[in-house]
Amino acid sequence: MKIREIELAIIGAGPAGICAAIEAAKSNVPVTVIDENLRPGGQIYRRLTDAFAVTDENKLGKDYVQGTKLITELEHYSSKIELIENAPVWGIFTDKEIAFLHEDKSEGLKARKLILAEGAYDRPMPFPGWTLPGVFAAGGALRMVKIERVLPGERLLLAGTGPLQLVLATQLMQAGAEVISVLDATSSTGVWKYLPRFWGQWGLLKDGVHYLWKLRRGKIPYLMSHAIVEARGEQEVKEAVYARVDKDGKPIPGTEKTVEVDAICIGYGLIPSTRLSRLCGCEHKYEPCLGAWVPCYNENMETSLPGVFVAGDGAGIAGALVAVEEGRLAAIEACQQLGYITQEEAQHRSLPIFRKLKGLRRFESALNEIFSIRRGLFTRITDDTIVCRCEEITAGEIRRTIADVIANGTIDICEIKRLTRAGMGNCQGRMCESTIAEMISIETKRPVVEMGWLTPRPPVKPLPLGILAAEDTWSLESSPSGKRIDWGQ
Amino acid sequence: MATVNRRIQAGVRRGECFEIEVDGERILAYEGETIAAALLAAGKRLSRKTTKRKEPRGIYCGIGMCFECRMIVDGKPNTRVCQTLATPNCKIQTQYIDLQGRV
Repeated sequence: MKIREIELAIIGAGPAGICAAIEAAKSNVPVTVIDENLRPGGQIYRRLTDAFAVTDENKLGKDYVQGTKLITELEHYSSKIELIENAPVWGIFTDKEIAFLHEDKSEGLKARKLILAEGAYDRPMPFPGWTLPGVFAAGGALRMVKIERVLPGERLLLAGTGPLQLVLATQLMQAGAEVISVLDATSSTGVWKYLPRFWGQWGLLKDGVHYLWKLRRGKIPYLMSHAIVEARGEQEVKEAVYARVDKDGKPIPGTEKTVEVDAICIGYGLIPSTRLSRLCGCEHKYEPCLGAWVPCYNENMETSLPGVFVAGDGAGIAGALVAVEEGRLAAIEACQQLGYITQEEAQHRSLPIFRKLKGLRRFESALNEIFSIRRGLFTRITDDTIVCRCEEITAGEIRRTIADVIANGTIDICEIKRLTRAGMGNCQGRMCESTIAEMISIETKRPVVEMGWLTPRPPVKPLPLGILAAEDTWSLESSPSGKRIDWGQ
Repeated sequence: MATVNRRIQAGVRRGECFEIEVDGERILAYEGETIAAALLAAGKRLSRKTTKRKEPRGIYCGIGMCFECRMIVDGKPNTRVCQTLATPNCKIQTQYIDLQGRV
């Protein structure tokens, strides 16, 4: 594998990655952006294919218009920004050595500074039947409707928590699908307490009200304190069962209703993608209201590892507007450290960003608290529910293993992985880690933070063995530094 | 050819239209569409059967994270169809690998 030495690498071309790249280009720093998708934009700013002509881009929402603006700016700097698309990063080794797949080959980069803008994904929340075809994560369903202009079903139930559901319901409704109901497991009692933290963010509040108003006009019931409890069907989903939940999210027996559907969209908020920041060895902390681990960073978005930065939802869920600013901050600091701009210039450019971030972060953290996952939702997971989708491990197997391990001493999530194979499949634990941690915590009555995380190891995304086998040598001898890759993590 | 068409027609003009093959059946796809979108548009949800329990799985996360939409595309197994564009006459098969490793 040939390893190229570069100044600045950015992983991820969503809002944070794009803005970091633009900021670096403005500072005349040669920058390489690696992204897994076919085109830049990430999830929220995902582009329509060039082959589609849409008569009114405004109908795709404000985010789309904002995304168009940013990507145009990115293209404007194309002479300074190297963009590698369709390239999943499968490993990061000692001292910012990045291995990624590209055009059926593995390639390597060694960067002086590294910005991780990994993004986030829909929190997997198991319930009986959630593996049936026709049950979609809300983010995936939104992509289908908004970008691919295809309906994932004709009669849909939306279930989860938080504002993304409203966006999806509106898009589905406008596209002519029948949305039976939008269920939100959150209880509306006590939401007023958060009002002070929303103060001043009128634009964002207006968006929320706008979506609620659209639902009402479309006569789509928005049911607070309700959750899906089961998806039924043989080869694909045919029915959904939902129930009222108490303020802890626990379904109340006797309140179940069954509806005929051909698709269910599940959106229990987002969790940050942190596989790469963990692989690098950055310090992380457990964020209880996110129900996830997030990398620790300073005011310039630098992690505990000098020269490694994080930005955007991968650093904690705060939305695109925050991601954009964090990407800029990280890049400004990286450029300063590389010596391309002076400390004074860096400060001058960062100052207005700090101010903007303050209000935005206050708003987003209030949202995260309001829509945080209630423990009672995990009582939906019956023993025969699949928790690890890849290895087909049921909740029952996991609970039995937890009981065995507790009987013999201490427990953490890696122990459960070793004993059950949960988390060892293709997705590398992305779909089961948060659930298993909660399950152990519930069974042992110990805080989730004590359960640890599934240690990521390369390859963090599956790659054909043939690609590795095709490499003559796995040392860095071809690189000027001539150092060997350290496989130990 | 499948008669279900869940494409949103209003407000969008698509590019070139072509056929693709799914388990021997011809369905339509448009230039720039992912295979996942073409399958959903034709009302097709199944991507694979699981190895142990032989359970049906379909597109779930839609953003390349969950690996549930792995299918055999032009002979190449484990291809995530949500990350792969449809090309004229591409051949897609439901992925089913049994315990002996037979596809």
